[in-house]
Amino acid sequence: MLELKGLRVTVEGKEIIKGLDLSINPGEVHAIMGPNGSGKSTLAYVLAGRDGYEVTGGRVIFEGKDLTELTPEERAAKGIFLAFQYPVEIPGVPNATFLKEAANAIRRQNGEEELDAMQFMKLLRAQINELGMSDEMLKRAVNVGFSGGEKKRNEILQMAILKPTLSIMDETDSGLDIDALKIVADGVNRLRSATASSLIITHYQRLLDYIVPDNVHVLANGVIQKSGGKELALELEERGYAEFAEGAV
Amino acid sequence: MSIEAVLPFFRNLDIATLPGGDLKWLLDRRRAALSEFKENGLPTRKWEDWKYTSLRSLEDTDYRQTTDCDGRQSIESIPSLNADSFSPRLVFVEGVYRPDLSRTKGLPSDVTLSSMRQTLSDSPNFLKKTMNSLFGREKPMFLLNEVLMDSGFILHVPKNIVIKDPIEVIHLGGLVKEPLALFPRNILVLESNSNVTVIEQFMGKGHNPYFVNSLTEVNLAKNAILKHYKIQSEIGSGSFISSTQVSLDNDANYETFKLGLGARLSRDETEVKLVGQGANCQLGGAYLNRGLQHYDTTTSVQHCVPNTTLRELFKGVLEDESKAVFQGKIVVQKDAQKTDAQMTTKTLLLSEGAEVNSKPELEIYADDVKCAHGAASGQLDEKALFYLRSRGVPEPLAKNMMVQSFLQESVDMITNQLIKDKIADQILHSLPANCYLSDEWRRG
Repeated sequence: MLELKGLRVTVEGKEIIKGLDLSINPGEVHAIMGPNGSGKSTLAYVLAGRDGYEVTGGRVIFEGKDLTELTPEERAAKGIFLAFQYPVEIPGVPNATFLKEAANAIRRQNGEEELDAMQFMKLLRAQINELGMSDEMLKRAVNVGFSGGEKKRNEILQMAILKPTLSIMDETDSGLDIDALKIVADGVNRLRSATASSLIITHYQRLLDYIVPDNVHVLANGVIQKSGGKELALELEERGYAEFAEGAV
Repeated sequence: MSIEAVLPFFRNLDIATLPGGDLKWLLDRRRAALSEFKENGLPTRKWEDWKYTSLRSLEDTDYRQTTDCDGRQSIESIPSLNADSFSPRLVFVEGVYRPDLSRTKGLPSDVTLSSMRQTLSDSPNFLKKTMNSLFGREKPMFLLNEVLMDSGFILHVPKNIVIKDPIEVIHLGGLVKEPLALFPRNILVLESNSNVTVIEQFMGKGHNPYFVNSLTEVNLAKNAILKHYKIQSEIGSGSFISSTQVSLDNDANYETFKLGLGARLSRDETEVKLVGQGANCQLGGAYLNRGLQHYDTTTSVQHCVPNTTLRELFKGVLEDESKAVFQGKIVVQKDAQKTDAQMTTKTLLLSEGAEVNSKPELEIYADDVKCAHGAASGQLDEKALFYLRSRGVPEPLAKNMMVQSFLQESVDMITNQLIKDKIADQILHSLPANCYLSDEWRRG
């Protein structure tokens, strides 16, 4: 599904990712762990297509096609979803309207029929009930005045509506209490299927108690230093990232 | 800048041929204004009030004053504001009143809603009494209007009368090939406890250049309420100078909102005097300019007595090489204790070539007042744009959503729902059309 080969990424003239290889098959959940500044968030942004994250080498192949030439919206239409570490506040845009525009924009790009207001609200209601969100959060402007937990829940709601084939969780667990963490994990687990994959980017192991990964990779200094099964996360929890620190590479 | 260079007809102007030429008092006023105007001529950028707006571009065109003939254009029907009701309306074509397109039936019989020309022949004494009764007229564009005033409308609402349906005043211009200069004078007098909503729409229908210099005088008696909205979607080659003077007596309310979409050169000036305790004034506006458009908002609010309020918010979006000016002045006189005034302007710059000049001015002579002002300008939030796009929203649509939501804050000040929807709709339709925004979007 996703194939990264020798990926190099430069941000503001500085090389952050320095030859990264990663392969995710349909239905797999991969976790990327690593110390701060290792390039984890850069990887998330470059997959979602943010301006200013320049691919200077290697390949990014998603479902057999080169991703690097696509705009963020085209990637979204192809099924890539990035849950932001810090979801952005957009004053004046009601949350429900934003969700509907997004859902229908993706449907249009994929040549599918748009949902009318009734159909969409039905879909939305079902999802907010599952996520324990209130109607009121749909009326408010996107993320404006939301608590940290509400923002993350809103990310999961978007993910549930857009049903991506590859969801990338960028430190979604940061700043969450255990209840919010469970809701986020449930949201990801519910999307798990034989065809949908996830890339969980995290500093800590605790999210992986709830979302059990198939593979764990250690990212440090812009390259994957070590890969293994779910037990690798536990090892890292115990020993920390010291052995992958810059000097040790 | 000599006036003859700008308005060639000024050279051999015979003011006796203008409307009301048989009224001696009017001729005297026109003559007096003319000699006063000629002392300084049109304002230039050396004038403090005109530092950021130049009228030089007027010189490129030979304008002439409008005639009855210019108003006889054939016009297809003009859609009503509210499909459910036949709200009263006045229609002017090239400044000429068109009774065939207007509707004044259904208004209470003692309400006057008529064209300036009609009123000059029907009740000149009313005009003699009300014109120029509020403010000094030393400003050059006021004087110019005073000399050349040739059209406009009169609204007089006696006390205790409430008119529910908004009164529409529609101006169509740009249809005549030769460049026209128009000088509308509007007078709105609301007696105590009356309540009226007026929406003026300036629509350029053709493609020919024209120049409008309008002056509107608004007098609100005790407890009167006027909601006064303006939509200006003049064509690209129109130049539009509009001045409004408002006086509010005790507990009177004036709410205005100005939507600026068109015109090559536009200056909208509002002067307010809060002369009665408990008077409230709300000035709002939104503009969206592109190309080489120049849009100037100038306001001046005087708090003359205690316990008056002002809420002022203007928001604008500038693309390409368009320019905007905001000059906002608040004066709190010595006796005007407990004044509560807020003035804010925010501008979104969508391109490097766009430019805004903001000049807030506070003159406060009382000591127990709340006065706040703020001015900000910035670009589209790149992170928010990426966030929307990462959810599948195409870039042009994402930009539209952000522009619309930026302007919505000021649109939300409009308390008449019908007009709020109408203005939101106008904004929606002036956004780049190469993308899709569903209808319920703006209603949330």
